[in-house]
Amino acid sequence: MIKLFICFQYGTIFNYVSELFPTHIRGMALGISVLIGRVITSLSSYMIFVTDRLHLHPLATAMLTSLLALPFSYLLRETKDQKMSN
Amino acid sequence: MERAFRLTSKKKSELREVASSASSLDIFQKKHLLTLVAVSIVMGGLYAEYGVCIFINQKIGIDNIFLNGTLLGVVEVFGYVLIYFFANRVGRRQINIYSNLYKLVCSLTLVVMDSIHNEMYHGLKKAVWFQVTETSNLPDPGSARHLQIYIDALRSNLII
Repeated sequence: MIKLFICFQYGTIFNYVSELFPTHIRGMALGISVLIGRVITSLSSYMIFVTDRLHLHPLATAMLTSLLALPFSYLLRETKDQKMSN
Repeated sequence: MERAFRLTSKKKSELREVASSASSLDIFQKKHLLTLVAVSIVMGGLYAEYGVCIFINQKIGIDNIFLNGTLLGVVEVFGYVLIYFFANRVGRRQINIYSNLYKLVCSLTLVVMDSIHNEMYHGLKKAVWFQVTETSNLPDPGSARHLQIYIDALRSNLII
């Protein structure tokens, strides 16, 4: 189920990010956000290591990241049926 | 020809004006910067979960690498097929929020179930060892080893 919702989000996030920014900074914004994402992916194996050391389930990391991302998702504006800026 | 040239040069100057007014450094404006931070956190969380989820099948006891890969692939294809139908009907913000919410609920459920299971397992183990060591119903050490094997088998049948 978690993987399913990850795919749901993954399928739309790139369009969503593109629509959030005006054209002249769109590429840079998408690039920076994907860069940060990839850096965090490279740290995910260490997250498993840390959760093992703390005797937690590895999905505790996913829980924390979802919890952190949820309020920030609320802050972003809706772009569906809206006129794109430039 | 001259008119066409004039139009083209006019367009060029307009384009130059637009280019000079819109710089790539606009990303450091407060409004864009806040959006970028929010997007980066959402994207970072998504990628972290993507990385962690690869290990989950292994953690819940699916040791077969082919089954592991097949499960991951099938779920992924299923997710992309579903989003194909939903993406233009539901708002992007809603998809984002609800995906985060459901991921949170699913992972929370798994973590809580795992902790309950661990408590049960350790409780059972303690009870069985108490029976073995204190009441001496099973005197030979071979029986104790069999009991350990029994507990491990029981554990593998429980849902993690």
